[in-house]
Amino acid sequence: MTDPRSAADSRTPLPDVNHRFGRLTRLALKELRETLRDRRTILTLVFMPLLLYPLMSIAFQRFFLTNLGQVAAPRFVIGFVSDDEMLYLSSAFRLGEMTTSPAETPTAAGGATPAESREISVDGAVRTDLEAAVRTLEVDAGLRLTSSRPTRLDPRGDVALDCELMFLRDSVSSRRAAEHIEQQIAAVNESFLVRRLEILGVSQRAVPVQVSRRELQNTGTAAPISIAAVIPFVLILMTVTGAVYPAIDLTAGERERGTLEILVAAPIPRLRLLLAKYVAVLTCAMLTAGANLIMMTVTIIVSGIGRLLFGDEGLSIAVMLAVAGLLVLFAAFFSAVLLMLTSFARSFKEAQAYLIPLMLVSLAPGMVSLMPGIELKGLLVVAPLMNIVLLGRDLFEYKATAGTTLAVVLSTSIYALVAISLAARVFGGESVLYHSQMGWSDLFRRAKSNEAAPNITSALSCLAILFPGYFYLNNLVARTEEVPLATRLLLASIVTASLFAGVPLLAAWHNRVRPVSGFALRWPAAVSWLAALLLGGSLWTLAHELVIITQKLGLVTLEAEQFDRARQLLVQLRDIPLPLVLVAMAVVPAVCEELFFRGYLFAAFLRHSSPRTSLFGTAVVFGLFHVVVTDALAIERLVPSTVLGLALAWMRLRSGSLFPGITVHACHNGLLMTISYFQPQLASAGWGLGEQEHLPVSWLGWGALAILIGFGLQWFTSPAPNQPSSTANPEVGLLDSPRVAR
Amino acid sequence: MIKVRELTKSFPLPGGKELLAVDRVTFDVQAGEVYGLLGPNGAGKTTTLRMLLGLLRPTTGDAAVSGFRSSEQPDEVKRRVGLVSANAGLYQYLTPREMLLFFADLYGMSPAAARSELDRLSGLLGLQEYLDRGCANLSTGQKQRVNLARALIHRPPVMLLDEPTLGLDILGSQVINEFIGLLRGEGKAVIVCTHYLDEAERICSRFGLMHRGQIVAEGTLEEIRERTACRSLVDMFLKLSVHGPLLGSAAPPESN
Repeated sequence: MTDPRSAADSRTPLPDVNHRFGRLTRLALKELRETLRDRRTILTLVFMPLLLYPLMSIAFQRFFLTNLGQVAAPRFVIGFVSDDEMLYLSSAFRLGEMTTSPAETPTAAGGATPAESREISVDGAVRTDLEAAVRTLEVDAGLRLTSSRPTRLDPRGDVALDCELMFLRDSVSSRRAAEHIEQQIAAVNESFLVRRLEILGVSQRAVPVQVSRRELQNTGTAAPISIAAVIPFVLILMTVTGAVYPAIDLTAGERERGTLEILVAAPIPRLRLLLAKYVAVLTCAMLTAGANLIMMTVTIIVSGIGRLLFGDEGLSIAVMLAVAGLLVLFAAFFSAVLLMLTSFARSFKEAQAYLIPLMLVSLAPGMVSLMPGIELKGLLVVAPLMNIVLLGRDLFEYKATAGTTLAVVLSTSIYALVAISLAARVFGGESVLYHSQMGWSDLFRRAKSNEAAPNITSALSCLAILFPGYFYLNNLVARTEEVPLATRLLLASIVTASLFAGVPLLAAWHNRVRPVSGFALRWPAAVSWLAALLLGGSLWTLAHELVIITQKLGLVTLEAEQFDRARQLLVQLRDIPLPLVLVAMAVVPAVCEELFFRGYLFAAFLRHSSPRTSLFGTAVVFGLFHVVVTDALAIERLVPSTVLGLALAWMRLRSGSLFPGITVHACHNGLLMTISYFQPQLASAGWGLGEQEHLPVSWLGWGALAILIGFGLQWFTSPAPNQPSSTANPEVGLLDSPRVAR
Repeated sequence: MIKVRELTKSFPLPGGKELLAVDRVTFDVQAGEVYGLLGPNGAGKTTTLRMLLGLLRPTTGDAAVSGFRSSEQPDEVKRRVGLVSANAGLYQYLTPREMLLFFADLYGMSPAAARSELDRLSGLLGLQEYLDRGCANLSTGQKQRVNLARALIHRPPVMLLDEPTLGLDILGSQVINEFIGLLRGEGKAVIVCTHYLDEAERICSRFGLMHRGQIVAEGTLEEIRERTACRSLVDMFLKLSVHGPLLGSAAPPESN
């Protein structure tokens, strides 16, 4: 019997993107099928919400809403010294029949709030020692006469009546009872005066200065947020519950069942295995969130507590969608974190031990979001987990802005990516698979052998440090307005250098990535320099036009005030020598940003994906970084910066070197800065450039010609980039092993 | 087909010490050959296989399958190898059919080729009657057959079998051993790790006797017999690896 065929030799070793996506989907479906067939998952997914929300609704109605009812319709006990005075005063001041229902309480005229008065009921009590009764809170307030009383308050004659109102300052109910009595007396006084002035024929109204109060509500809903904010918090906790079991089962559980070894023995990158597991965990989390959301809605509608929780409009569709969006973001983040932690675990028990502290830590931001006065700004915008919860609260209060939302979504997505790639680093590794002595320290241990290119985990970790770091430090430097501008420029340069050059260099050292290949620090061909100079001198025309087009399309998020501030800064810059400005704003950003975006990040992308994915991937990340400006997010910068990032990445790919890109970047920035620097002189010479005007056609023509020549030179003089291999990057040195037949 | 050169692996131990699990192991396995890597528990057999497959990174030395080095191109090696291990589990909530097709997909087979190979293996290993039953409900022997099919579904030219008959009854072991014979007939290079020496004698064409991480003897049964002047593998192994009595000596009780 012979079987000469071998699937290994006949298959295509590098499947295309659709094929890879298809396999990822099938992998995820298998994980999902396995998870959903487990009764424990179904229990968390369906039965928990089925039981929880009706129970919560009962609890709400029993305790919470009962208390709410008391606050909304208080019942006061007012003390009097005798039955006689009680009858006289309650009748005179319309304090109500002493044990009546709210509807029977007389309505106050004038200044009192009718809605509130109608709901307050008052009981009367006779206490000889009224002061003692108030002190011991036997009665909420005491009222007694301190002058002789007229038979009735007749407006046809003069009336003078003095009373003493006693209440306990430290008691809320006592203060509210006193306020109520004062309001009633004020209303009676006003009514009396109106009648009296009429009789006297005086045109002056009873209350010369009348102030009307107008209470405003949040647009859309009258939700008492302090109560309604509890709902997303509960939903978040339930979403966590839905994700925990699948995360443990698909990682530590796989190890325990003995299927992990055969899984990693297959020729599939660990990152892809992890991504499939991530999709499965995320789906479970979202299914749980969906089941909870539906059950919560049904419970709220059926029990009728929606009106009390969410105001007159009840549970609006907008609120539902906002909460659903928040839960997706939260599930995406938390599933990644869960997978990262459980990937370290060698058993179910160990995984549970890791997750308990995480759950406890996760409660803190939820509690913080319920506290008043905490705003989603500054570092909190990029603080993991906290930013999601605060964004959730702001969504409920209709306070969330597009910029903040984008920053939260972006930073959270980056954190999730980093968590997955870290998980991929340990998932199925020696330490987890074979119980060796290594573990958490693996993450921080320096690589043992030199690498030609960084791995994606390392590049994403850099990104996770850079995004919040840049966001925060950039803001910090911008706030130092009292510092001279030259010093601020120096500080900004230090920030740029430490982040965009320092972080990737440190990562390269830690991972033993060879600088020449990892950052593409090769000397390029002479023609690449020429192409770079042409592009560096002309790309700004394209960038300028893209900004104008974006603005004309209405994609502007910067406000006029921020534009003014930028203009002022440009004016101030003219007091500083041009070379210093160019070094700080053109050379340093060009060198440092290229080191990271087209150096470290690009090499990592190229190691794991096709040149096309690497081009677009790094360009989009570059574009997104440029959306973050000092105190806002400038969406209008996204397209021009992404296009520029695309051009720079293409130069890096075709020339095989970082230097042409640095030249393009530095020339581009330098030229723009020089034009801005000499704008007054250029304008007086008739070369003025309006911020919101298209460039002259002749300029555009020359610019386009230079861009075409620049790209053409590079295109026709450099070889097409090679296809990457999952195991070896052809650009960074091939191994001497045989290549797979294709 | 398989080349192993000076393969060494040491594991860090608490207190800065190191455990030398595999010590400069070298051997070759050709296509159509069943190589028995024999030795007691802890001899380093499994660690050697794991390094060969690229699951463990060797401390020094290297291994290659069809010219692809395990430490540098592990995916190319994995593509060409089928692994059967005594510890390997099955997905409890999948059926054997689902599991086998899933693994075929992992190895990049087209659905049509995977289904055809599934039919072939089901016939050979007698899986038909429980192909659509949940893996959790299978017996130990049935599970091991499914595991064999799983390792073969992508038609690998190399098979690594780590204690494939551990825990199986005589009939179960016989099925596996017969199947190993079939694999040899198919021209596959097979490495069998086992400490059942009598079983190895029947199925292997060449042997590497491992002891404390080292190969202490290598060759065909006749070659090792000549060198050791022993008839059976058990005697050979005892002669080559054990110096002195296995049990500690104790003074006999004094007679009254």
